[in-house]
This record gives sequence, structure tokens and C-alpha cells, in this order.
Amino acid sequence: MHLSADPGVPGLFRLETGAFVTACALAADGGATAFSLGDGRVLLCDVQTKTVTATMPHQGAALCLTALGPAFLSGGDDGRIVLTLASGEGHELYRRKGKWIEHLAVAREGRFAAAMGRDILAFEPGLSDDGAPTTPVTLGPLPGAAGGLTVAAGGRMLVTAHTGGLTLFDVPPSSSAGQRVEAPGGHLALAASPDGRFVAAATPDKAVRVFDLQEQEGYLLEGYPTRVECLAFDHSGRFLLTGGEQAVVLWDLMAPPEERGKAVAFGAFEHGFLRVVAPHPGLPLLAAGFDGGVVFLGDAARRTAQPLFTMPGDKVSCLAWSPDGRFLAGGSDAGAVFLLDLIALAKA
Amino acid sequence: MAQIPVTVLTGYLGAGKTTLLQRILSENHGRRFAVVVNEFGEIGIDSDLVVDAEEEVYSMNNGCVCCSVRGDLIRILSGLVKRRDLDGILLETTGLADPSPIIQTFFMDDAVRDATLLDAVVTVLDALHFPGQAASRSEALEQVVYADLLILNKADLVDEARLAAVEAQVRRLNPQADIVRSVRGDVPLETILGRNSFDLSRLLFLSPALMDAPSAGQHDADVSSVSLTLDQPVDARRFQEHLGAYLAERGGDIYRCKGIVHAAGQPQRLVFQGVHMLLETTWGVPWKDGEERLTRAVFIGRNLNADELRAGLAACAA
Repeated sequence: MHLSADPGVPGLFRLETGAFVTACALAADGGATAFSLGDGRVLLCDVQTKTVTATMPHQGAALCLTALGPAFLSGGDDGRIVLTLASGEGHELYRRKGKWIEHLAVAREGRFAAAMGRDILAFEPGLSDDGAPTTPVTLGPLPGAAGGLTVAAGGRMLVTAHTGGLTLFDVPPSSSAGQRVEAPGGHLALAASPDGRFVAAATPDKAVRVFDLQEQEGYLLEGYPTRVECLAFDHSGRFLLTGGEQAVVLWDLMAPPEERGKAVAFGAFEHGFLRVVAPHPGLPLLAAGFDGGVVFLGDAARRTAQPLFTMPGDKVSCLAWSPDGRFLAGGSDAGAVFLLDLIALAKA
Repeated sequence: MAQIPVTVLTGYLGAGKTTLLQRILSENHGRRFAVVVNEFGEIGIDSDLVVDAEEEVYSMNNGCVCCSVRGDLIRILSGLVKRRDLDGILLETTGLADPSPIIQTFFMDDAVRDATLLDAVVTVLDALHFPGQAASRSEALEQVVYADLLILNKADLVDEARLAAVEAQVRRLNPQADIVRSVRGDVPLETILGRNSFDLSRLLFLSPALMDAPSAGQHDADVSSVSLTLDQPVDARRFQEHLGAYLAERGGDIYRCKGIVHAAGQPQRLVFQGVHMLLETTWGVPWKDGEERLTRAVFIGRNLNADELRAGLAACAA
């Protein structure tokens, strides 16, 4: 199995997997990209040869995926966390029947954390001397199930959102209770600015709550026609990009308070909502995935975005850049996956 | 992608929800269900597809005091639809759960609405103990008023006269639901699943029992139902404005409402359903030639004023 070159778009390679693509990630060393699927598979694709190796780490849906060095971590609705090496070899790191592993976040020095309902599992790096996985420390319980989990401040802070606000933990965690930041109502999708100053969380009632941890204030960004499913900060940490609209929505969080509630919408799409937004790790570029499987590339500085290609499916379900920013990977709810080589695209 | 049907199973403690659930799962139907429960560990269901949901109810910041959703369901249903091996989702509530945030989640959340379909609210009642529960616990009444299907379980434990009395009692509370009797949850699967109770586009007529019900229900702890019939055509715009305004004001007391409206000059039925202040109206199936065109509606709620409702509808006549 391999990704095939798309005749229409230079540098674009595609494959149909036949299952909901729940997440994608690219390894830090640039060697492999991985796609987690709703049927429990994780597909590993060699970035150079485009050869695909299928693994089956989960019985059920693989709900989340992230790169951990050259390998990949996945969590599933079977309560398992599995480390899959680039070779395809898998190591089960955790198992808890009847629970879901919904979010994973990698911190510094190989530490990572997983969200399992109201618990956060904090893992130390590596395997123990006898090759067995190390036992995680359980943090929490949170007031409600984690709607999102991410790291900030160079991997020194772990942030989770839930009913009633946020909980922050340092890495490695000094207390299992963490530091609570209270805010009413539910909080789902989550993003933190790289410096850890801002945290933004989508609420169930079509708004985004911003927490300014430096100024210790919070406020709501409103006016969305539908619930926001994706949030991301650009590499500068100043601009928040969100879905919830038939366009990319951009908020300037450093704007003076009186102008704070003014959004800029660009990359308008007539036929559906923005489902995934992925800012480039180093440039003002961004990728945006809409309903209908349409992938846009854009420029957050110039406030423009245009459609580049369309995948089969009702919506784009995931997008991720390689750490060096050369490759973009993504997938759709109907099982399409792609890998885009930006250098090949730019040359053409 | 096709929407996955979700059946909500509710009922007071000990009514027989779990027995019914086990029966659905053990039947040889070749279908694959995920089961969402609120009391994990207490139910003896051995399935890999049991999901433990901890109720997270929060009110919506939309100026509607009675609008609340179940955040845990938004999360769990969006997770379940990622696996595409499911034929349905069965959602078992706790015995004390209020079903309205569950229903409102399906009305309010776009992602849940896109990916899943609320098939029906099925309420299991203990034929022996329901009259006592209804007298003392508001939850027992709420579970009846939100139901599309009422299963009168443990029917073998009471005699026919008492069974008929319980039936009459729940019929007064909820004239639009179907009522079936059962012993240890022995209800055919096709009665429970695939009901499409919330699909307005298919609504042809309201439950026949509705029309037989007394026009103003008798009172059980202030909960009652009001059935309305109007044989004059209705001005569609005026009616929609009236209904919207009525629910905005009184929605806190309205558990459910549903109706088919004969809109003047329109070949199609105007159909509506509401849960508290949330209202959905759409143009439904066209009237057939020679079919009697009547406007019929039912309101179930607290402290309903039948005269006020009737006058409000009459004022919308074209």
C-alpha cells in the first residue's frame, strides 16, 4: 500500500483508507507520517517512499494520535495507549477497560500526558529496565471530563479544559490537583499560545472563552453561527484562529480591550464550515479544512486563503504540519488521507 | 455519512430499564449497538461497547433559562460516530435523570444533529409502583411526559383494572406517546427501534390516542396535557409568530409540544415540535386529495391554561 501522486496538484499524494480519519501526525525526525482511524488502525507512511504500513493498535476507534520523537502515540475507545515505532512495532503503554483515551499531549524530554474522562495520566519517558511501560501518575479528578489537553510554555505546562474552566499542571506535575482557573459552563476544543500566556477554549454555546493567564482575566469571543470545533494559535502566539464560521476567523488577542471583540474572517467558503485549522509551525501560512473535504492554503498575515484541493468526504477531519513545515498531512471523515510536499508545490 | 439513530431509555429506579437493555442486546438481530450508561459497573452488561458517561449538564448562554445540554453526550456521541461499525446507540439514563437536557442536546448542537438522529425517548414504567412514584417524585412524571414510547413493565404484577388505571393516568400526562404492556421487557425490537419520533418530515398524523384524550388533561402535580383541534385553515406566518412568542414566554413550563397545522393556501402540512423554548417548524408531507385538513396540536407541561392555548390558536385562523 502506498500514497499515490495526484495528477492535478504537484506534491500531493493520496490514499483511501475506508475509515474515519481521526487524527494525523508527522514524526519529529521527518521520517514518517501517521494517520489514526476510526476502525482502530494506525497507518504509517514513509515520507520519502510514500509506502504505507498498516498497524492495528486498537480494538475500536483510535481517537487520538501524536508524534513522540520518531514514534507515534495513539489512544483509543478501548482504553489503551499504544506507542507505535516507525517500523510498525507496537508497545502497549496503558490499558483501562471501559474508559476512553481521548486526548494526548507531548511535553518536554519525552514526557507526555493522556486525558481519560476526568483523569489526566502523566507519563515519564521511556520503558522500565525490564522493557515494561512505566506506570503513569494519575492527576485529577477534574470537575468534568477533559474536553481538550495541550501543552504550552515550551512543554513546561499542561493545560486541560473541562466543565467549570481549566486546570493547569506543571511538568513534571508537582501536585495532582493542579491549578484551577474557574469559568462557568462547558469547555471543549482547546488551544494554548506557545508562550503559555493565552488559553482559548470553545464553549458548547457557539463561543470561545479566552483566558489571559498573565493578566488573570477571561472573556468570551462571540458571534459564531455554529459551535467552534477547532482553535489554534499562530506561531507568534498573538493571533487566535478558529472555525465555527464559513471562513477562517482570526482574533488579535493583543488588541486594546475595546477592539478585542472584533474578528477578521477570511478564506470564505460558501458551502460549509471550517472544521480544522492548522497554522504553519514557522511561517504565517496556514492550512484550513472545511466541510465537503475542501482543503485551503492561506496566509494569516495577508488574511487570505484559497482552496487547493478536495478530498472525498463530508468534512476534513484532521490536518497537521511536519515540525520543519515542509509537509502537510490530513484526512477526512470518509477515509481519505493525503500528504502534501510544500517544496514540490512551490517549485511547480 | 448516514446519521446513527440514538434511542434514549429512561425510567424510574427499578422499572426495568436494564432488563430491557439486556433484552435488546441479547436478541439475535445482527445489529451492533453502543450502549451509553450513567451508572457504570452497576449494570451487568458485558459488551466492549459500553461507554460510561458522567452527566454534565450546563445551561446555554442564549438567554433561554430552560435550555440546558448534556456536555458529556456531545463528547461521547462525536467519539462514537468515528467508528463506523454501529447500527445504533442506546442511551440509558439514570433513574433520576431529567430527559430534557438530552433532547435539547439533539436540538441545539449542530455536530450532534449532523452525525446522529434522536430516534425516540423510550420510558419504562413499573406498573405496580408507578402511581406511588408519580405522586411523590417529579422525575417519574417528567420521564413520562417526554416519552415517545411508554413501556408499562411488570404488567403481570397487577390486575387488569389497575393496569387500565395506570394506562389512563399516563395517557392523561402524555397523550401523544404509544403505550405498550410488557413482562420483563418483552417488547419486540421493532416497537422500540426505528421509531423516527423526532422526524418532522414524516409526521402524517398525531397518535390516534391523542384525539381521544380529554381536551384538557387532569392534573398530576400540576402537569397536564392539552390537545387542540381547529378545523379552519391557519395563517402560517401568524401561527409561527404566535407559537414562537408563546414558547419564549411560557417555554419553561412546556415539556414538549407537537402539531400538524393546516396552513391556508398551502399544499403541505406545516409541522412543528418543541422542547421548552426550542421550536422546530417545517413544511411536511403534502395533504392528500380529499383528506380532511385539520390543525391538531398537543402541549404537555406545567400549569397549562387550555383556554388560553385554544384562544391563541383560534386567533391564528386565516
